[in-house]
Amino acid sequence: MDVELIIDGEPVVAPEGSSLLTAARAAGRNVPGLCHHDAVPANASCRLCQVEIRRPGRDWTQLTTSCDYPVSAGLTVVTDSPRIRELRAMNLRLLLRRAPEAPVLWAIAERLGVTEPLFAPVTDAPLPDCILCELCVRVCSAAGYDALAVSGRGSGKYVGPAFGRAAAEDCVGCASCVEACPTSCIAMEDTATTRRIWGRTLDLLTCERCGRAITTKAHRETIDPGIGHKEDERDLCDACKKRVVSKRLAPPGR
Amino acid sequence: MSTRLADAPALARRRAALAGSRDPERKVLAVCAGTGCRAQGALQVVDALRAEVLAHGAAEEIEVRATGCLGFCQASPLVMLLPDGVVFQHVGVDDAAEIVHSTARGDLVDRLLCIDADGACNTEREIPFYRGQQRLLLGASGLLDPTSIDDYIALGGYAALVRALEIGPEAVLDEVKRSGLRGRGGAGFPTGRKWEACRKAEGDLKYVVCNADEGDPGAFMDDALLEGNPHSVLEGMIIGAYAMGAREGHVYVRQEYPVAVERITRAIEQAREAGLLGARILGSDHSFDLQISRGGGAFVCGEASAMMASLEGRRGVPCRRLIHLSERGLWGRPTNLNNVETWANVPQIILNGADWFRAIGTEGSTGTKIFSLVGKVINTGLVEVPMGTTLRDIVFGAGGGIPAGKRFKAVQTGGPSGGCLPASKLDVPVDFDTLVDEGSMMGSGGMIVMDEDTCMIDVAKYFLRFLAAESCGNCTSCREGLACLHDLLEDISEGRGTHETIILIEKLADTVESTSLCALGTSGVNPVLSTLRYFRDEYAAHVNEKRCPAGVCKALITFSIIEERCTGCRACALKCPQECISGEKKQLHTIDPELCIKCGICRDVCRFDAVLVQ
Repeated sequence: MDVELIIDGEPVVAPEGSSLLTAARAAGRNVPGLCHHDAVPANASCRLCQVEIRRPGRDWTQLTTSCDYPVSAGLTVVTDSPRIRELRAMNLRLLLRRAPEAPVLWAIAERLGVTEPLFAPVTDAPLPDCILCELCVRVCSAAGYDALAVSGRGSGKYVGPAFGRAAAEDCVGCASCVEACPTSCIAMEDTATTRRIWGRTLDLLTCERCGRAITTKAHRETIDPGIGHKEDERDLCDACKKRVVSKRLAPPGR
Repeated sequence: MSTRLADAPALARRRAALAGSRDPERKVLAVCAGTGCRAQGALQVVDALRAEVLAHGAAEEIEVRATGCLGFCQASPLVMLLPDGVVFQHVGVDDAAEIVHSTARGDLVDRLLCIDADGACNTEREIPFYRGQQRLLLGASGLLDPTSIDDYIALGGYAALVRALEIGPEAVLDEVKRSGLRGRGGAGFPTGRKWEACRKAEGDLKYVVCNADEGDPGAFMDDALLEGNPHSVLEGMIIGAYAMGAREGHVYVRQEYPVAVERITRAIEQAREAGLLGARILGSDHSFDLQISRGGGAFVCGEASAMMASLEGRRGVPCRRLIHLSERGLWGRPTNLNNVETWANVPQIILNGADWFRAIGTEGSTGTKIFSLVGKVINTGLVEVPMGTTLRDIVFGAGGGIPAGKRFKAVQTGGPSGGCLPASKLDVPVDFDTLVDEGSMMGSGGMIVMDEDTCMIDVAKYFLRFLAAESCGNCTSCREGLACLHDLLEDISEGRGTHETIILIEKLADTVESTSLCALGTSGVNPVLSTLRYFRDEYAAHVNEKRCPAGVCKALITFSIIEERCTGCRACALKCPQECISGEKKQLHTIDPELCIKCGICRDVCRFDAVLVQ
C-alpha cells in the first residue's frame, strides 16, 4: 500500500514498509550509500545513508540509516544538513581506510567536501579495497548459492569462502558478486575457456555460433532446469539467440 | 535420587523430610570453589579436608562442602566454618589437618583468621569486606552444595514457585511490576514492564531466555550465581515463564564458563526429574522446559538481537529491531530476555513480596546489586550491596581502599563501555540513573578500581582495544571508528599526539556514538569520552608536555636512579633483563637510557625507592 511521507519538505508517495533510501532516491534526493541493493535485504553497514527522521506524533528527530528504515505514513525526513554531512564525511573517511583509491568513494568524498583520507589505510586486509558491505555475500545467498560467508569480527572481519577456505566450493562463477561489488574488488579472470574466481577455476560455456563466452558451465547447469531452453538455443549467446529466434518467428519468405 | 514431586504438598513433605534428617548445628567446612579459589587450589583443599575428616573419624560431626563463590576473592582459597560463619583465609592443603582437628575440638585456627586494624575478626558479620553487604542473592552460596537440588529445597527453594502457582500469573506479574525490579544486565529496563509486554503479546508459543553471556573484562557476577546457586536462576525463569505464558526457554551461556554450563545443565536435569520442569509442573497447568545454548564467546552476543541470531544458529550480529523482542523475538515469537541476576531476584520477590523488595535500595533502583570489585583495591571480590550505596562505601568499605598506601584515582563502572569516575564522584550513590548522569553507567556490575599509578589514556586504550576487537564489524563507524580511536590514543601515549589529535578524537567519537547501530558502538566511546571529561589535564600533559604523569606510557618516561637513595645493593642490576644497569657494589648505580626497555623491574625490586620514573 502506498503511503505519503515528507522528504526534505516535499510530499512523496512510496510503498509502506519499503526502504526509505529507495524512496528518497526515487524522489530525486542524492543520498549516498554503498551497501544497499533493492534485490537483497538491507545490511546498513556503510552508514553513509544517514538521514534525520521525525515520526508522526513525536516532537523529536532521530538519526537513522535510511536503507533499512521502512517507509511509513506521515514520516518527516531530512536527507541533508550540515550535521548529516559531517557524520557522513567521517564515516566516508573511515571507509577510505579500506579502499583508499576507490573512485566510487572519492566521488562521494567530493560531494561531502572531503579532500584527504585522514586515517591510515588498512594494509593487511585479505581482500584489498573491500569495504565489507557484504553485498557479494547477500547476492550470492539471494541467488541460491551461499558460496560466500562473513568471517571474523572487528577490524579482522572479511568476506570470502566460508571458514577461511582457499576456494568457495559452492561458487558456480555466476559473477553476480562481481556485478554487485561497489568497489570492484573481487578478482575474476576469464581466459578463452576458463573463469577464475574465489579460488576456483571453472570451465566457460562458449557460444556455438560466435564462440563468445556465455557463462560458466557450472552456472548453466544450476539455472537450466528452470529456464526451459529449446534444444537448439541452449548454447548460444544472447546476441546469437536473438538471431535464431527472430529467424524462427519471422513470417515465411522474409 | 530425586523422585518426581506430584504437587506442592509433595515438595513441602520433601523439605520437611530433609529438615528432619539434617542437623542445623552440624559443623560445615564450606570451601569456596568459585573460579578464583579453584585456580588457587581450592579443590585440592576440599580433597585434603575430606580425607582428614575421614582419618579423624569426624564424618558425623563435620561436613566438607565445595560451594559456589563466596565473594571474598582476596582471601582465596577461602573456607567458611558454618553455622557460625567463621572465615579462614588463604587455606592450603597443609592447613587441612589443623582445621579439622580444631573444628572437632570446637576451636578456631587463629593464624588463618582475617586480621584488620582492630585485631582478628572471625565471622562474616565482623569482617569489613562482608559487613556492609546485603547478600540476598549470594548469601545462599555458602549454605548449599550447588550440585544438590535437595540442598536448595531444604533452604526453602522452589517455595516461591509454589506461591506463584497459588496466586496466579497476573498476581505474579503485578508483584514483579510493583517491586520496581530493573534489568541487571545493564540497561536497567523495568522487568515487570518487559514481562507485561510479553504476556500481552499474541502467540501460542513464547520464549523466555536467560542472558548468561557475561563478557565484561573482570566481571563474574553471573558466573558466580550460575556456579553457586543455579536453582535460584532456574526458579526465577520458571516463575517468569508462568507469568508470561511461555512454555519454552533457553539459557544462553558462554562456553568459557564450563563450570557454570555444567552446574546449570545438572540443575535442569534435577529439576526435570523432580517435576519442577516439564509438563504440568507440581501438578499445575504450567508446563515449561529449558535448554542450554552455549555461546562461542563473542562479546556482542550479549546484545539482544545478536543473541537471538546466535540462538537461531546464525552469526551473532545485531540487527535493527523496530518491533520489540517481546512481540517478535526468537524465531519470530514473543520472547523475554533477562539477565542471570535479574532472574535470581525473582523468587525472593515472589516469596517476600514487592513491598519488602522496594524497601531495599533507592526509589528508582530497588533491591541489591552485585558488583565485581577488581583492580587496585585491597579486597577484590564480589560485593552485593543495596542500590544507592556510594562508590566510597564499596571501594573503601567492602573494598578496604587502595593497597600499598597509594591514592585512589578512578573507578570504572559499567564494563568496557562504561566510564571512569574520579575521586570527586566517590560519594555518588550507585544506581541506574545517577551513574548515567555522571557519564558512566551501571552496566552489569563490573567495577575496576585504579590508583595513582594508572594512566587514564592507557586505560581508555585498553578498553578501546577490547571493544574494537569485539565489534561485530558490521557498522563502518564501529568497526573502523573504534580501531581508529584506539590508534589515536596510541599516538598520544607514544608522544605523537597534538591538540589536534584530541579534537579529532572528539569528532570521531561523536560519529561512532551517533551513527552506530547497537550499544557496542554507541556506548563504546564512553571510555575515551569519560576520561576526557574527568582527566583532561592528563591528556594535556601527554600532548603538550609529552609527559605521562602516572609513569605508564613508555615512550614518555625515563628511568633513572636517585643518588641519595641508592645503596649500591646490585638488586636492580642483577634483575635487569637488558643488563643495562652498571655500578659496583656499594656504589651508585646508573641506568643506560639507550638500552633501557622501561620494563619497570628495577623499580619493583628496589627496596629503597631509588628508581625514579618520570
